Amino acid sequence: MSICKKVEDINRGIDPLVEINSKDLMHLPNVADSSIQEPLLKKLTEEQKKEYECSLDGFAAIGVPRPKSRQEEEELVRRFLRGVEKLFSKEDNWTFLQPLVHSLEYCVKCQLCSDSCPVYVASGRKEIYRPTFRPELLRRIVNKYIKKQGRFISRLTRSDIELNFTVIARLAELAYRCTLCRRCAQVCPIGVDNALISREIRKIFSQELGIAPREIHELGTVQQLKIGSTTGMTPPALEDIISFMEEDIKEKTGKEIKIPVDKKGVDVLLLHNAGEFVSWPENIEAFAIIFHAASISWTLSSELGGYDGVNYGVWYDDIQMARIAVRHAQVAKDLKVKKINVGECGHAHKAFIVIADRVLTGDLNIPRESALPLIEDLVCHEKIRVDPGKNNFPVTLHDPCNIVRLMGIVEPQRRILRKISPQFIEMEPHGVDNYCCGGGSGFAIMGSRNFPDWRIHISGRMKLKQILEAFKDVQDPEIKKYVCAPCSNCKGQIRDLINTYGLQEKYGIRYGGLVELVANAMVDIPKPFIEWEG
Amino acid sequence: MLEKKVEEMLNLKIGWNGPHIKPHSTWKELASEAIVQEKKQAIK
Repeated sequence: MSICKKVEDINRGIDPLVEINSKDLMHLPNVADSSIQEPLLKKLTEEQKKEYECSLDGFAAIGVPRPKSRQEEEELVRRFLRGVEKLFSKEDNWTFLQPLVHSLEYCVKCQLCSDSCPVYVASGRKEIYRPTFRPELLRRIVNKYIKKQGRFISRLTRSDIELNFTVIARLAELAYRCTLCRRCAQVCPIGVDNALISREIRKIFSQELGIAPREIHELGTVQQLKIGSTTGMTPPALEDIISFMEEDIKEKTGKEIKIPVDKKGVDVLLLHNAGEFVSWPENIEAFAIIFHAASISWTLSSELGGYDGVNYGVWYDDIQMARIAVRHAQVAKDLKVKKINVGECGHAHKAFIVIADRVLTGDLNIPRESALPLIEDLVCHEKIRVDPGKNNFPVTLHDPCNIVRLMGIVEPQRRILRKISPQFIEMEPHGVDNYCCGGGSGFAIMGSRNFPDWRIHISGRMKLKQILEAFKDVQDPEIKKYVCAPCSNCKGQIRDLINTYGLQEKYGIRYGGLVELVANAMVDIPKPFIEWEG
Repeated sequence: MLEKKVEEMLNLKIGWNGPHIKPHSTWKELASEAIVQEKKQAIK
């Protein structure tokens, strides 16, 4: 039962404020039979409930620890308000102040954005997930505690709010119920960006209170800056993995292809999401095969941070974002490369190609581009030879939000697929209207407590629906199908959707990146590059 | 022009008090630190 009907309810001592039941969730398409089982959503344990504030919706993404005394709670409220003040100061938030103020002040709450939000719709339209809900909370806090709007006006406009630990913790969790896909911003007639507000709220918690999901902060940006990668992979481990990949390439293609590392003065430094090295080495191998065939002058880096193109800071913390962007640029500068190409990783595109403009100046401002147009050039201008007949199976394309909606890179991947995949099927909607995979903004790697259940069954539900619908005319599991997701985090989320709902066994659906399909179509490679089993 | 403006902003001092932020540093200093010493703690 959904209890929360309006923003005022955030103060109510109901636990949880909203209950998520599988029967309320958005209906899935009627495919083949009733073998898509509705999930039983995992509850938090009594012990977890005692330790963390989880009264928002019964899920805990961050797990905000409860204060141990009244004094501690008051101190938390004071520190939170100091953070809110800094969010609106030019010195402390020059990076995003303008769009934040614009979005907060000009939204007329017309709710055009609500139906564009996959989380809101998939949840069965739960009020707390409405894109305007959390900005309204922040707006009320700012009006009352920062602008000191009088109680009379607050009551008159019914916008009063009382800050306490529960409200703050609920807001912290709420900031992690938005995937930052920015579909809401796209449909807003005046460009209000409610996703940006979610991220700005995350900044208050991280930059002032030191509260952030462990997977994004300690295991993410901190680990990357200290030991080189969010995966925990050290430079010597990288060396081993590269040797393994060269062996693997030889086995698959019969060719001795050396993966260049730390080559100075080449044209391209290729930055991969390090998750590829660990979970999907075939993606890196495919890039190496394609670049080798096209005689591209390129290199990887084995420098600290240079072999992991991720930048989780872009999801929650400007300082961590800046540190990683500078590290990446420094690596490229030392290698004296002409440009940096970002591989198949959506948020790395956003962080390094778009947002890093705010921190990279002078000789650190090295040209930074997506690898997709480069691959398009190689495939479509026949710098490598492909035979589409080798990819004669149904393929659908997932559009990573950061690459497509944010950056407008819509056509290169499609031109490639039209050239190499004769059975290419578009998802609906697609392109800039795509839906997030549900793992955006860090969700794909956040595995604590019961949050993965929320990620798979609620934020990922719309993508699951799209995948099922894309292949609705070819449900036979004997017909192999491929969800092409040119983004590492999206791949992780789609893998989890496929595994949780048994889509590979039931419908023959598997997933992978874009360059794997290109390598699979290459004439020079006699054996299939894509391995369908496993 | 834009780069000059960004450079100017990078020299502003950061007022945020998170445990991973060295007080009184500029954006530029913080972004260029070689190794970040983390003291991330839960709420005290």
